[in-house]
Amino acid sequence: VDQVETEDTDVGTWTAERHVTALYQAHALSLARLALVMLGDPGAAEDVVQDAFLGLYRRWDSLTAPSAAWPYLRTSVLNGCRTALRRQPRHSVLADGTAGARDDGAAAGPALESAEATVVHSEEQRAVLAAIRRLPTRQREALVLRYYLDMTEDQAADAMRVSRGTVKSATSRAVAAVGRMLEAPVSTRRSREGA
Amino acid sequence: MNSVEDQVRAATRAEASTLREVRPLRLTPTPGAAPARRAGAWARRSKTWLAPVTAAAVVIALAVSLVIIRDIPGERTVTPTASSATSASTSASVPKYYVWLPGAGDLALPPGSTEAVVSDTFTGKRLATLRPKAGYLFFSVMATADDRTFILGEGQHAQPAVWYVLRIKTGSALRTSMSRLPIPALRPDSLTVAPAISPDGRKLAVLYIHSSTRSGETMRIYSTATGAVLHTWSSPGQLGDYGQTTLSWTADERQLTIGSEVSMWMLNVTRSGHSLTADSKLVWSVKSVSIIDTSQPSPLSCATDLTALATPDGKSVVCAAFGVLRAISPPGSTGCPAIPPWNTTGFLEYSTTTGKLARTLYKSNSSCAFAGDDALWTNASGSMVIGYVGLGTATRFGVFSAHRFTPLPEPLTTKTWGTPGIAW
Repeated sequence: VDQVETEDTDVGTWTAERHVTALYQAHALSLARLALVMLGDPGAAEDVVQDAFLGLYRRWDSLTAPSAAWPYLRTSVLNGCRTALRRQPRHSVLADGTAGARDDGAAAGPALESAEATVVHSEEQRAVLAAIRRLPTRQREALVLRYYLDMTEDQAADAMRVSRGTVKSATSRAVAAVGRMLEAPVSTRRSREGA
Repeated sequence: MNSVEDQVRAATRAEASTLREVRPLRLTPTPGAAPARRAGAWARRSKTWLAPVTAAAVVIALAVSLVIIRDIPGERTVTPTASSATSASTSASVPKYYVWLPGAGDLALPPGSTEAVVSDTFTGKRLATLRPKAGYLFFSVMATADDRTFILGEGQHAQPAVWYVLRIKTGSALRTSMSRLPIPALRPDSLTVAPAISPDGRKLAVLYIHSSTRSGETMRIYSTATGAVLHTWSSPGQLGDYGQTTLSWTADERQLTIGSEVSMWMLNVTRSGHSLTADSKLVWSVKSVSIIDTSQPSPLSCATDLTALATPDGKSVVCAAFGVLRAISPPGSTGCPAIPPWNTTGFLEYSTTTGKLARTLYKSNSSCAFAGDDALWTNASGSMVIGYVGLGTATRFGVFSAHRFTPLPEPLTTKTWGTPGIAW
């Protein structure tokens, strides 16, 4: 996982464009990877990151300090992923982590693996990714922040803007759900947990 | 055998490693200017009306042919039926104006929105645009019961600190006025979870958590006339275990409803107690869906990654819902079934007296699209909902009532986690 740090620089000596471009060079790939893990679609992941940086650029004047840029970008990307997940059609995700064709015959975009991804992922990893993509958005987000970014519960709570208890419960539910999906036969699962 | 956590780490990092580079950043708009959204994959996927030109075209299309989409019993397929007779009944029951915060529902909640827009519900026309104080942003918007008065939360650092009342005056031309409410600024160790303005606009309830511990909740009711704290409740923990909290008043102003994706609590504000836990009552809860499974038919049930709404009469909870109509995807098959539709979407109403399902407000069939279902507003009894629902292979926005759908011009925002960005 890429390490992400933002160094404070003098706001007055750089233009917004230079600042944002520098931030992009430093952080765009790690943010796009975060979005890819959330969305499963490289194109959508890049779109979310582009929008986040564009949003930062547009709001640069209202930024309180350069050091606030990174948390802003991370939150923007997470929000962009939530919006993308809510706004795009949900496709049935198969056990191998890929999405099928739509009923209108068009190829499904999200979760469709690239040839490179197919090679890189083992069968187990594809099953895990498929399970993650069946989770409700909040649980997926908690899982990704805790175990992909290795955030603490407090850090994840800050990023998700929820309480630590919420992160804890969402993560716990997500781990339990993924575990059950990995144990259960393919595509024959429906499970509900108590609230 | 690795733990699930280890498997998740390995799989997500393998997934991430497949992305080796990103395309160059293009910064075309100047800071402060309206963002020029790209046409392309993202824009197509988002299904939002991303440009005024597009919105205007849609408004024209709506004016030419207002379409009702109605459920047909039996197969429950969705058939568009041309009609122009619905706008009268709908317009009589749905507030004419709404206020939304562009950007709040788009990408970033922090740092809020640089404007608040008054729009016409039925035409989508932007009637007025308000700007926050220099260096500040808008973070939340709420509506009173009169369809003319709204409350805006303005601040910095992703937190509303100053509250304004926005009044709409109609006549030969629409005019707006903004006045600052005398409510004291938030304490530094508190974070606003959810605010709610009373139907008469005289009381503002705000639910806080303590930022240092991120636990423990405090509810305060302020007088919007004097800023005085009228009542305080607190609890050492949270009422629910989910953080996507909504807060609203009942129409009689005797109860505050505190909702999440999976539960609804009612706080009787007429009592003298100060314990948020002891003075609140759980009136509705559902089990959370941990796995979305499409291999077996299942009834319409609340989509538990979305927040439910309490109706103003306090008798019901309305949620966006989905179910599986036909089992799909046997092992080895690819994608959506050959015979769509395969799932159902809609809105359900639960009784807060019994906690049980009271009625299905709307139900439709959809194919591979059921994301975006969301209830944003209900009338007093919950019989009419403004929101999003999957219909066919798309997500539609409009009024859902008595199994009828009346499309509305879609705002460029939706309610998003934790911070309402739109209010009727």
